[in-house]
Amino acid sequence: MEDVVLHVRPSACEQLESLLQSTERLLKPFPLRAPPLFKPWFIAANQPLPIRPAKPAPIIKHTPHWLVSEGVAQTKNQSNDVQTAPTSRADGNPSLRSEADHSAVTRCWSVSRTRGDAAHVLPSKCFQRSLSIHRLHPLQRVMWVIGQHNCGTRTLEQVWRSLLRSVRASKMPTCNSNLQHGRAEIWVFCDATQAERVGHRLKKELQLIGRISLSVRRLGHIFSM
Amino acid sequence: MTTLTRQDINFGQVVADILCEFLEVAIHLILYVREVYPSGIFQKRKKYNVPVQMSCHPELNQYIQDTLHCVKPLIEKNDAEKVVVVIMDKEHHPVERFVFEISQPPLLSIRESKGPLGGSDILLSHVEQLLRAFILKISVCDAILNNNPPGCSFTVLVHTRDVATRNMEKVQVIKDFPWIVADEQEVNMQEPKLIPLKTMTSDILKLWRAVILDRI
Repeated sequence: MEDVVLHVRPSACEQLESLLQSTERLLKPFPLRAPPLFKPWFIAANQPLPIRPAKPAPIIKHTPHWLVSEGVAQTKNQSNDVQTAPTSRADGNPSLRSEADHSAVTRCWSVSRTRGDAAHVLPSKCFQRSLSIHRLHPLQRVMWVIGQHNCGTRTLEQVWRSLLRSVRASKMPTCNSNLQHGRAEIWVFCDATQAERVGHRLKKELQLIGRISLSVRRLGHIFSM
Repeated sequence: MTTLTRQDINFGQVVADILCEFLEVAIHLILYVREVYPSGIFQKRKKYNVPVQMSCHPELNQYIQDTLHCVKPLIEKNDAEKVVVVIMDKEHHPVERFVFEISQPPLLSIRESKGPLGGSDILLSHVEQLLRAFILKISVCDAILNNNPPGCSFTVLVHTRDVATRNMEKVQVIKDFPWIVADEQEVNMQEPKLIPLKTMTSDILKLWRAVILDRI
């Protein structure tokens, strides 16, 4: 760089040092930034193809009935019934799915409608005492556990199908249920205040034998009938 | 201003955490807005202080989580160039692609602050504001897009920066969730039209998003 001459007014002589510093800063070369390598936005012939999961995304459709899923999971919205189509094909062509496939699948998740026979019935004193001991709110969700030993000669799957029918007929107010394949158990969730009534219904409707136990998250087993 | 290099903190991990969280929200919202799934499986939630729609279908949620779980290591190592949400018709031809182009600046600049977390609280707050703008843009993008044909599905494509990173072992962190190279028909479009939607540049992340349509 050539010499630079700084002309200073006599009145600004006291600020000479700061003026020199400012001048040096101003004369510094501009920082250079290497422009990024140009890449065409759309994939060119010589560019590698991207990667994707081999498994296709699940297909979920509106159906008039309960949703059906291939042994994985299913859910239901109270206002919109939805259905999960099988997605087991690794090469991923869900368009090849057929409605007939649904007959062979198992349900593992269900929710009762809020309507139905949900009249308020006070629980027995014994059950109320259990609730008060554990300080449970009436709307706390509690869980009945049905094991294979409660099913007698029937399989857990058969009991599960009976339960689904009951839930569909709105005989189990406030309930949602869950078939735990890994644990060989059926979990029926309901409000604490309805638990005793639901328990009696479960035993009657599903013709369960032995005692079923009521559990609460964090507290564990709190009651049985 | 304090300047930190990638090595000073686990820079990639911070970016990957933020970005994967954002991508999860964005994918759910795209699927809702573009009506790939029935609206009944979505519930309203709040994220980045704005309402968003999140699926409550366990199988779909698991699929999205598994996908992002595999993408995360690539983002951590700055190997992922683009994450693309592709909406496909019944014949598996792409009709829309939501492209998230990611780049990370080589230096992380954290402004000094008197906050409890030093500069990081300001930094994260700034990033959250930018991501919020992205989410809001997705929420309204259907205004400029046509309706998709019925029976659409989706997939996620990941463009990696280098062919060397195409090593599938890096991506296949989940045993039952293999990854494959996409088919050309899933990538190429007949007459693509590009609509830039949003760009964000923060101290830790540059993100550019666009929609590519196969029809006008």
